[in-house]
Amino acid sequence: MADSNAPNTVLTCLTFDVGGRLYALDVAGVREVVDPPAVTRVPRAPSFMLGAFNLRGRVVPLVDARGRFGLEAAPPTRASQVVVLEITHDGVPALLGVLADAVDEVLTVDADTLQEPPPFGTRLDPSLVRGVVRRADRFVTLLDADRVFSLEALTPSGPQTQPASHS
Amino acid sequence: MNAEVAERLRRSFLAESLDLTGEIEAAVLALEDAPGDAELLGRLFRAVHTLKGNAAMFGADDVERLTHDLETVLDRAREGRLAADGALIDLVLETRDLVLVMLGAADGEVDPAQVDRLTATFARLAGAPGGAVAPVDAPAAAAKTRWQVAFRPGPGLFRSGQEPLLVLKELSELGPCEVRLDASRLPELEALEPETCYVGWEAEVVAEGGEDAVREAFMFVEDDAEIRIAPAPARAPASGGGAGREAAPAGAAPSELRVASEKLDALIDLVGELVTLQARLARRAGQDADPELRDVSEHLERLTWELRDSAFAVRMVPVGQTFARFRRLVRDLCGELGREADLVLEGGETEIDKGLVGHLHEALVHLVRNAMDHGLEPPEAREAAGKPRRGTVRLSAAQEGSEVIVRVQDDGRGLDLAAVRARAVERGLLAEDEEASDDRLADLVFAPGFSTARAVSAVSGRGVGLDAVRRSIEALRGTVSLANAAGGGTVATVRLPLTLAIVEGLLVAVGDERYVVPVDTVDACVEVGPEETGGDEQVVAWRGALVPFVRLRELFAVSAPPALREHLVVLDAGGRSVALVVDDVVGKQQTVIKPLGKVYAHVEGLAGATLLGDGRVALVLDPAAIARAR
Repeated sequence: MADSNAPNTVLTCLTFDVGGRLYALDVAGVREVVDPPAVTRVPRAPSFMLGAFNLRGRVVPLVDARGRFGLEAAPPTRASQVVVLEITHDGVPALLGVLADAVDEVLTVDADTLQEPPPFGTRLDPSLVRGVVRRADRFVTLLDADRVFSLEALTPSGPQTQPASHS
Repeated sequence: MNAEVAERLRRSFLAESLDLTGEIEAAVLALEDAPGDAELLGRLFRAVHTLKGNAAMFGADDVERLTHDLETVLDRAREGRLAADGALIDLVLETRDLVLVMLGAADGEVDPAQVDRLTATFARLAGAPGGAVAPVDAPAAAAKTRWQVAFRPGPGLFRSGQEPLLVLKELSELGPCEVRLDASRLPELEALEPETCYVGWEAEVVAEGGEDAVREAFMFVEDDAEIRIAPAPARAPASGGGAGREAAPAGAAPSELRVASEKLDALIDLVGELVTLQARLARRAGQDADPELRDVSEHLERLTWELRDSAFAVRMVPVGQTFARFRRLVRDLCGELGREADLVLEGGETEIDKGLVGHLHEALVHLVRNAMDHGLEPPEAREAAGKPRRGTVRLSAAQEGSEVIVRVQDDGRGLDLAAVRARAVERGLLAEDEEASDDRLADLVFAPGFSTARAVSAVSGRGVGLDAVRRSIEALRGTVSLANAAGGGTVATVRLPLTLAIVEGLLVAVGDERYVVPVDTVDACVEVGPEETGGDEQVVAWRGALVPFVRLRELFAVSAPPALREHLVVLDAGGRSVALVVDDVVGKQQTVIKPLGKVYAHVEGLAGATLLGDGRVALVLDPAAIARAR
């Protein structure tokens, strides 16, 4: 997976809304954005694993970003979108759909301006976050997709996220 | 080429040539003890051929000429047109000694008179037109075939020190030859790197001795190049005389085309898509009154199925290649275990999906080891029992319907069912007084943790037992069983589906969820009421036996309210019967099994996913895993 965390690098990110907060993912790992599809439930999986859907002939697992970030599940709205990521699980490239409350914009971030995530008020373990960047009046949390959506994090044996500490 | 590289090449050429002259000497001396031995002649020929190629590459023209002539003579001997007698052996040895002198590897001067004499002898033996040596007989192998050859060197050919022109020269020596240059990949001059090979060649050559003879020309470059050799399509009879002689004889060995497996997988994926889409169209057309649409849809259906069958045929490989690897294993095991055994292979032409080959090989390694270790007795014990010292392990394959059956049979002492029973009781797999049929007892050998071996041997007792074999075979939707063979000994039977990727599926419903069960595992479907499945026992009477059942609604925690009437789908899960209770049986459909992804690999009971006619994803069930998960 392309990781351009070197100094003086300009990152192009896709930002999206989950539970009223803005998150960002490096576009290098984003394949496309699609409307919420018909999803088939897969039994015996963590509750935030919503199932699998048909992406032009490929069967792609769908993860609920709200659930992954420790929020209550909410029914999709008209603004909901699925971000399809290209990730690597066990050394095998795979696609993964991430259901977000809304997709915001494509943002360019100078890697030098990335800040350490604040020690409070974040929903995610700091090790999953590449940094925080300020955009107008909001903070955007840049995620490390390979860690947030690692195989361990998405299967029952993996560490479950703690419920959010809302600020 | 700089001096250092040249020196390195020269040294490696010399070292290799010395090896080869040693090989020539060894082969020809062995030939003296076994006159006319085809294998030794082949060995000798190959060594001379390689030496010639080396010499040509390095520019040792004198050595090349000499070895070329010798090769021609040996080729005639190989074809049986020249006796490989003492005179020939002397000639080979003399040539070999002269080559060493030419290479500066032996003392002495090259005597031009000796070279001329040898050359003349070669010419006489090679049977120049009207030569003295009459053919011993006219072998069938002399039939000439027109071959189409594509030679596409990799970009690094020059850097590895190869010279494609020599290859083409050698090719043209086989017989009448036309060569065309394929310069279509040549870049613009600015982008051209002088050390990169951009070009390829296509040739048609008329040669005798089959495909191997043609392939031999590419011996030195085959690792660095893509080479395709196929019989040329028969030409119109008008094209010159003797067309019948040149054309590939009917029933000639089928030529092969190497294809990267990714290309094949991509093709299979596309066919899978097409099958799914076609099912969708057929569904739609069935609801439509337009006769033309239905007609087109039915036609497309036939074509799609034919295409599917053809595409899958490409994936099939003969199981013989896998079998051949067992000769070495059996030989090694004989030494390790103190056994004497012959391996008999049967049905090697049976074809199997290439995706299954690796798994089959692994399972067979266990089964063959098991047969050698636990089945076959030591030679002394065999003799004491009035059997031949050498045991036999028979590996056979056959196709039956949509399954491939592979058997591993030994002529050893057979399964000791009393010992199996005692062990099963000891392990708590069987109650002390429980009745068990022979089949049931034999099946217990596959139970996890079961092993009748008294001592843990280095071969069979290394952690993975027959339970692991069963799991891996069942993961491929196959079955494995063990039984005493009719004539004594043990036979292990592996049944595998012909192909993995497409199955006939039975669509079942629970609430509004749909699941697919592979039809080949389904024994029967019946409607049942609560009086039959309502008890706490989770078993149902079926054909006079009690069959355990799994309510899919409970197994998969389906939230929809229970149905009033349910359906029982009786499955054969690897020799055991298990029933699924579902709300409804919807119908059959062609099912392209797709991976569900690693994130769901932990979910037991699923074989993958498929796409339904309406484009939705449905989960494909794995009956054997459901039986285990119960």
